[in-house]
Amino acid sequence: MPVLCVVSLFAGLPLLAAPLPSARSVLDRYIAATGGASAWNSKRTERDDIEGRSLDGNHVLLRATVAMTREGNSHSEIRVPEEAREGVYNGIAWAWTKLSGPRIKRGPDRDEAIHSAHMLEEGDWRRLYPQSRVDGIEKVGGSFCYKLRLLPSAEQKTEWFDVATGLLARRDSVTLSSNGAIPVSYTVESWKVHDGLKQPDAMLASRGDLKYRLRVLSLTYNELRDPEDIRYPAQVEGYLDAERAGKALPNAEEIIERHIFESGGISAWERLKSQRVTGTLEFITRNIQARTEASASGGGRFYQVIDIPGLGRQEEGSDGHVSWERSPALGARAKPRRNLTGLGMTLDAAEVIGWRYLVGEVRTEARETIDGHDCYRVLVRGRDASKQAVRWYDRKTGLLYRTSVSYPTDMGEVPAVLTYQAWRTVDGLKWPVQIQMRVSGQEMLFTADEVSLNSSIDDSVFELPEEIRSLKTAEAESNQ
Amino acid sequence: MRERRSIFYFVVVLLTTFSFVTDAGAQLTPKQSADALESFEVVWRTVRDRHPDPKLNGLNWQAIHDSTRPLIAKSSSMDEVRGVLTGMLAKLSASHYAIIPADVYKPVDMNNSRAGTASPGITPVVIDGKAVVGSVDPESPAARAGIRPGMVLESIDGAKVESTLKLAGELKDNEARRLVQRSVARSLNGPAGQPLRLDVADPSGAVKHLELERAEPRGKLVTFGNLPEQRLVFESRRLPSGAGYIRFNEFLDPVSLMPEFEAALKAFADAPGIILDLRGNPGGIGVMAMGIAGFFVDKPGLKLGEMKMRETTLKFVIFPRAETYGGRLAILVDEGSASTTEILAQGLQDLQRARVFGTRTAGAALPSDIVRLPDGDGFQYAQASYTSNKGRVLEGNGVTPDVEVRQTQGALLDGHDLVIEAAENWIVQPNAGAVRR
Repeated sequence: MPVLCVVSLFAGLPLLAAPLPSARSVLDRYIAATGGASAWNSKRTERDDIEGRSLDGNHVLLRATVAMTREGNSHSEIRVPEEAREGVYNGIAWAWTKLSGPRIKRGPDRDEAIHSAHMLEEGDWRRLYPQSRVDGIEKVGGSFCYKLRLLPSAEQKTEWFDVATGLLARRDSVTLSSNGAIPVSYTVESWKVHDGLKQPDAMLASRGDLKYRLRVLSLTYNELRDPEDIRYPAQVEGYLDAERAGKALPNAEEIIERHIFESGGISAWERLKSQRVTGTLEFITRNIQARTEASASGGGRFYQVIDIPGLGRQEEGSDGHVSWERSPALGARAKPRRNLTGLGMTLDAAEVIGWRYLVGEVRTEARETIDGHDCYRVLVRGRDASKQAVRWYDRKTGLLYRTSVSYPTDMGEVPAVLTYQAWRTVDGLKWPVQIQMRVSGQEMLFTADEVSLNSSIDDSVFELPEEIRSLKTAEAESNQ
Repeated sequence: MRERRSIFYFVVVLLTTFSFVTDAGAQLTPKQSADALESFEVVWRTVRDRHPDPKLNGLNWQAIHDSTRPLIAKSSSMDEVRGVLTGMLAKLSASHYAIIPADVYKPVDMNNSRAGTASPGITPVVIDGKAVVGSVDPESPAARAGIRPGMVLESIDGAKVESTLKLAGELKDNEARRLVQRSVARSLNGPAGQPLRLDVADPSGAVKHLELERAEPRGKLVTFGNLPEQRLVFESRRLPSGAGYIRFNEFLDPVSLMPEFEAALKAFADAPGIILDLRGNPGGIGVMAMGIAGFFVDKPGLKLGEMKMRETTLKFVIFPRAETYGGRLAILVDEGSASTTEILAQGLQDLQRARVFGTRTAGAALPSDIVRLPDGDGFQYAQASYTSNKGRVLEGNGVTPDVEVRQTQGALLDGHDLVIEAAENWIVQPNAGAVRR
């Protein structure tokens, strides 16, 4: 099963023991049914082009080229869903993404990569999975199959072999990630012979909730002449050099994910459906204290007001369709809705946990001390590379300590530095309740006095003001 | 927490605000050598950190520090200290850096020391180096005492006005000169009920000594942050020509001022034109210029100008109101019109939306700030540069009216406001030139 062993994204391996046939007889029968031991053993290297498409065939979800050796080295070049490379070289499991650069896999992540790096692993089952056992007989796609557990296997690899044909019908495994254990499954739909070896050609695949169809576009054996061809790239080499010199910094992706974990974890963020925060905004040295109130709910609905003595109530909101603002100085107006940027402009759950889909690149730039806090400095570039933010994450707490970013306003880009000085746990999430701000040289301090998450917020809070409704009506009439 | 986005927006508002409200007002401190050195360090650091150009026009500022400090240390007088500091600032080749001698603050400090909101009801204007009564509030103590526009204020509580104005004339910096001139107006104010002694020259040149009460002046007391309480006066009326006339004395308190402004415009919807009298208006909250402009411009995407700060460039964008006024707009200005007033007047002039009447404005449109130094002197510095929509630099230049009209003492005495009359004439002319919205 060449392809499935490849990319750790799609890794899987099983095991089992059973009262029925032995694992040995099931696996040896499979080897015989697909070309025989000599065909399996003659393959030293493998190179595949694979493609995953949505079940309706309209969307490419995965496109990659994978190279592997019998010795357990591998190199996957992934073009979709993101530009990335990963592999194993002489026991070092590595990854490089355009998003976050190089990293070395550790712990279960490394184990999984190494276990997944073997080509034609069923052919080596005696070496890799000597404790495998058949657990029983189950139906897969209408056919009776032997359920075989590949052991030992941290990924709980299970395979089903057709009782009638001896061919592999399905493989399940569990991938460990920062999101938790993700079930991965492949069901073989068709076969193709390559250089005397019969291998799955099309598979129905699932990874968590994602379902797609995986096809082998091309497969060649024994074409890799130089094992160095699948050595890790220069970026990983550089990282390893820095690590040997004691100067390596953690991958930015890991730093950001740790913040998400420390602030409550993905599931807590996913539960975040509404937020209401009240507090005070003090304009330091200006002798101004403004009361603030902000509410946000699903569908991009929000309302906020900052009541500045001498300037009045500055309101902004959106009903999910129309964004607007109103102030005594400028009046009321509808305005274009701004999209999430991933640069840390909001504490919208989609922006926090979906950051990968919003930014173009993250890099750990340095370790430095800020206000006595030992921090990692992380550069975050937007999809529009001209937009960027710099963040400092506290090494001790894992939480974001400071962000430096330019915020778009109607008057232009406004540079701002936010320092998160205090957090409060509310409904399972750590929420910043004291933020020091420096905006174009002006110092401010935001202090929240009430934070309410996931409470019911009346829909009327997000309704458009009458002035805005009139403006939109007039606009629609003038466009007719 | 989406409110952050707006917070930044309002900071922009503040940045364009306080910098325009620059009157300093601390006590004069003794001149000591240590204070002078400390003052030098404050000046040097402030320029380093706040000058709009971080490269300081290519100057080696550290080297300038190292060569200047010894000169300050061995200065034997404050004049010498000021000379050294002024020489250092001159190397910036920028207009809005000045050391204001502590003496200049004396009138201002005296005013502050007896600060009060009561007034005799006189608005002075400077004409030909004289403090001329520009207007007199009806029913005010000044009106009851027979003071009329066109009379000349010779002395206020025994202090000769001429000497203060002479000092203003000698100052090279517009902003410092404006401060001194404003001090004349402020010296008329004081606690309610406190008598005011005035020497006033009548049309014949005869000086009359008058003693009158100060009374609560017109207008609403407003404040903003550290700004001392101000009297906000708004007035609007229909002129005999049919034009609408609107005047307010500060760009403050949008909560009350903007609805009044909007209501006045609605009342003048059928008027052939609007006269917006911003003479003597020193500015205030910068964003209000954008808000006022939105009542007269119906095309979105236009701007009054740009403020370039060290960190960013901010546009003074015009957001058209739901209902805009499409008739002619005349803006009246004079030497006392500054900052936000200049931004509004120049911006609408550039867009050919308004015609400007009067005299050249103060040329103090930078978000500059004035701080008091440890040695008692004042230090004015710019935080940004400002250019209008057409790239005009207002700083040091001011707004040049389309129609220059100088008020004269004679016209005031005859009960005429030449500037209003010129604007009215333009508004009622059938072919005076179109305005763009």
